[in-house]
Amino acid sequence: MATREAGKKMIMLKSPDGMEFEVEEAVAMESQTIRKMIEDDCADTAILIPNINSKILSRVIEYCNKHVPTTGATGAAASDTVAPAALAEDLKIWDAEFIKVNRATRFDLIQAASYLNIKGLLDLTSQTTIDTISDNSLEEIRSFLSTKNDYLPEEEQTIRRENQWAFQ
Amino acid sequence: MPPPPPSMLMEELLEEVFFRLLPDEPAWLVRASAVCKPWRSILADPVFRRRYREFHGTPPVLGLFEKLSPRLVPIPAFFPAQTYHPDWAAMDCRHGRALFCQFGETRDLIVLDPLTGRQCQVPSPPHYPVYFSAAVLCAAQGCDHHNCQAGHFRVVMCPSKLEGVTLGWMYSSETRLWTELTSDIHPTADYYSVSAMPSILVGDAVYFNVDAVIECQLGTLCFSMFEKPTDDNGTLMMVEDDVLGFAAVVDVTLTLWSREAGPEGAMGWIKLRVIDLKTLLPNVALFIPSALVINGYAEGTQVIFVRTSVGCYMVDLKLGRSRKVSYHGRKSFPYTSFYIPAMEAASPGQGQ
Repeated sequence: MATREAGKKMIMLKSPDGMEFEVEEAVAMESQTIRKMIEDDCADTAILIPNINSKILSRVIEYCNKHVPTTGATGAAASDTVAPAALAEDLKIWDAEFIKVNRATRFDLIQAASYLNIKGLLDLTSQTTIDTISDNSLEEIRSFLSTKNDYLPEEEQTIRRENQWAFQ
Repeated sequence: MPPPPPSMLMEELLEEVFFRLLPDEPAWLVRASAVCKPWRSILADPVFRRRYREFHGTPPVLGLFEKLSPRLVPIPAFFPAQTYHPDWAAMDCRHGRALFCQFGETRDLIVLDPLTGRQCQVPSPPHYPVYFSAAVLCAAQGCDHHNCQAGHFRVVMCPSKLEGVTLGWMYSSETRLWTELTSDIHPTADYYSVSAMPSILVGDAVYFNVDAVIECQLGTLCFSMFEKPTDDNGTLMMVEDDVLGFAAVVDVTLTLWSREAGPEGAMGWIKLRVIDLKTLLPNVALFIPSALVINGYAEGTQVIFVRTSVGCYMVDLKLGRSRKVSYHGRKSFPYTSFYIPAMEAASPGQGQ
């Protein structure tokens, strides 16, 4: 396994389109899928991340870099001087900027977060879809999420009638 | 490790998104089911529904049964209309069930699943105390209580004061029989309470908050009694998994105790935390500090209900936030449950 700097283990992540990303092991281990591979000793050489192109993988790494717990030489200094609440607030603002992407990218990020099992990223990427479902009419949900309505008008009417309370 | 085929993954992705629809607003699940047939198929799938409950773990507080009142006061913004039973009085809520006492000739008890309307009649015990508190609980061993409302249950009844030799009764829906409970309470000891005092299930014991704490061990069917940590008004609660606690309000301060073994091994109350309610409630709610009373606790959570001079607030001690849920402030039995409305999976072929 590659190593760089004092005591920091590095590992190589490869996307299917041939790009390689050298990242700190702690950052990669934000992904429970990669963590399991490393812990099971399946990660001696570069890890191929199937189905996630380099554009999306680089965004995922960017997210993990930001969210990796701040320990170690630089991290300790940061958490000594900044209150946890301020750090959390900073992360929230960063997350809000990070997720300002188009729908296709967001869906790709959901897929990547699901495959790599990164709970925080899955929560973040799902939230826009959740907000769409909670804040809009059925027609708007379908339009925002490009979902085809395959109900007959009378079928949809039946669902609305049987659950009137949920559509008020 | 090859990725799953794309069609499977797509459904998995939707599941991951749907898991994150908060159970506090069951209407979102219904709305999502009306978007298209594939969405409905996922939401109707029993495996998805089980995993949804597991994902959230703790059932949300869906409403309050105010003491001696027969109707659920819903907490979600959208909720089905609830049936009004004018001759019922709420006694307890637990494991997705609500327990009522019926006024009138029979004075039977009723166990209700408010989400389906399903009810079970419980005949009154042989020696019926005039005033009592009662607890309802699931009878299944090792149950996670996420979806057990249709299963067998038990009812524990605790008279409001010592009456002769009868101290308490337990009903089993399996045997349909009441069993008299034994007691190690000293014959000269006494306690008193009004009817329908709240109870809490911790481990294998039910505790009633009367003017002392009455403990009913479900394994041995034995009643015993011990003091509360304070004379101030308060509620029994769970301070962590399987640890009995007590919360009381004095002025604008909330104090939490836990019941733990001392150095000599004897059980006693230990003061755990003191919380300034100014950090949890808006100023308007603290205007008359003497009006502050804890009027409910949602079992299995860190959510208490505080009556103030301007209404009742649901206070989440874990998240450190509160919201107003009712203009009244009567003693309440919070009702917690997952509510995933019944839906049949639409056949994807239909209607195309």
